[in-house]
Amino acid sequence: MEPYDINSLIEFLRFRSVSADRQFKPHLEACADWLLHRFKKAGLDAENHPTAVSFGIYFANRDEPILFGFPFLLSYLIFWAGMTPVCLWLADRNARP
Amino acid sequence: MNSTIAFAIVTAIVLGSMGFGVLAVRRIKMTPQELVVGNRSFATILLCVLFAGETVTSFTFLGAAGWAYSRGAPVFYILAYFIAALIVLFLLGPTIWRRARESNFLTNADYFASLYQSRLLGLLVAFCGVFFLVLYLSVQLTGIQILLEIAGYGSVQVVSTGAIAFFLIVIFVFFSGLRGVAWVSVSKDVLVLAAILFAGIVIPVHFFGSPVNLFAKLREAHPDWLTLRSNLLPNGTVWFVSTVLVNAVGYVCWPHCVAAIYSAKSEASIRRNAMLLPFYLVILVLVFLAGFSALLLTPGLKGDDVDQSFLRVVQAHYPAWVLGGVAGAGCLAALVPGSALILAAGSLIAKNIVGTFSKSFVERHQTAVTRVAIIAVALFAFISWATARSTLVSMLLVATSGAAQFFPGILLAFFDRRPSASTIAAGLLVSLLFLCWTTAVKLPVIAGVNNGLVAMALNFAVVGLVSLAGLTFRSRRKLTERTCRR
Repeated sequence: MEPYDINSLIEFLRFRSVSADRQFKPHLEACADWLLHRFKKAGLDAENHPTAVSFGIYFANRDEPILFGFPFLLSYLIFWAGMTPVCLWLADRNARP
Repeated sequence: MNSTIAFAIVTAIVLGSMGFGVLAVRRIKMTPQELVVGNRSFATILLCVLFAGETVTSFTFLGAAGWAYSRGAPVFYILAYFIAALIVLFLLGPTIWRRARESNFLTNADYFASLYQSRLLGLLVAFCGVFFLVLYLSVQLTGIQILLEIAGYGSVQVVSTGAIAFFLIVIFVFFSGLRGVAWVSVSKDVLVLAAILFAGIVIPVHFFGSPVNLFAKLREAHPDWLTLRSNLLPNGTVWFVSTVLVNAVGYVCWPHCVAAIYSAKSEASIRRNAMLLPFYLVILVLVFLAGFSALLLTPGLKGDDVDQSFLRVVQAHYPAWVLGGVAGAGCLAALVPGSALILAAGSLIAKNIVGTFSKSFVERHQTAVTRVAIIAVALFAFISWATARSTLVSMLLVATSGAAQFFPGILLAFFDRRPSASTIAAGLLVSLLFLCWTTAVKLPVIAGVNNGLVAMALNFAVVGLVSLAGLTFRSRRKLTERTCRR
């Protein structure tokens, strides 16, 4: 491999592009710009399209919504703790002959 | 001085609650039905109180806060599984109750022995049930130990004091039975509610301004603490869902929970109980808040000490009488479910173990035999706990996932065409052996899935395969017999 390629690879690997963590978003954008520049330089017709939902972030759950100051999962469970009796009551009422 | 005040309050709470329970049942004649299933007469409110008493245990009181302290978001599984378990109770409870009333069942082993027409299967279920109950009792004893250690400010002989508290409650169960447990649950639930309101609201408001600020501070200090880890990682999303599933179906399979179902006055009482309990169980959120507060206030606790996390905050920042009140409520949270566990184990031994070998003797002296079995099981549990506490705790996983392995047998008995007793026994044994193996090799999850759920899948698979093999064998035998006749 040419020294130029190895240096490029090292430069590319230096980006702290942790897509699962919000605090690394600037690094991720810098990495995307760097790649875009390389692609264009190589003669490719490339564009940068930031995605609305990053599945990395979604699955790491670092970016989940906060409802009334409470974590999403806890709010969701409190909601179901309130809804379950209502659902069971409706089921019971409809099941009666 | 502090320890004297705290201990006096703990003693007053425990003795007062027991006295209340004994007074409530003093004029009731103790027949076996009355002792074990409260004469099947509990209406919605008393049933609700009993279920709440059995559900909010020292694990919920201390362990849930400990999990919030040491693991973060995975602790939310406790709230999730309780809600799901109540749906399972709503759907299956009335049918279980109807079968029990028709055939006069007292234990979950009776259910298996009668519906699968095999006393040996009943014996197997009874042995497994007693084993799980003794393991679960060890958790309650450890809970009492932690509470008394904290209330004693480190100056108390915990094992001997724990022994006194434990045997007081054994005497209480001996005389008052399940109805007494239900009545003590009334005072227990009130005190536990007060203690949890204090821990979950007063502590966050005192130190952080509000629960919302507590979460904001927690996000700053531990950014990923309130979210689950990704799919297959330990305590990740797959673990969460599988643990909720196995615990939800396992809830109605515990022998003491089955006894509580039997104690209902009607099917409607069980359904109404399942509708009302989620409102009570929301208090678990406050226990989580107490654990998260402790994480910010007393960081650095490791190992078993995390279970003491929020009590240490109370000990360090509040007067002795507050600590005494919280520890007293905690002791009741261990002793009330402990009573139900002892009662369930005692009745399993008397009715399904001793009764298998000497039916006529047990029928004649059932109340006396049950009471002797209660003392025997309590002694056995206490000695096992005092001598091999760490082994029992490490085997607890077998109990929590193991009780859920009764589920296939309970569910399949609902159908007219049900598998044979040997098929159910084969499924149960294979799944329990699998759980023992995973515990021995320290493998709590398989590909991120709670091994209790894997064991249950194995259980269903074995039941299916053995039933299929049995059907094939029987049809071949019939064909051979017909050919021979011709």
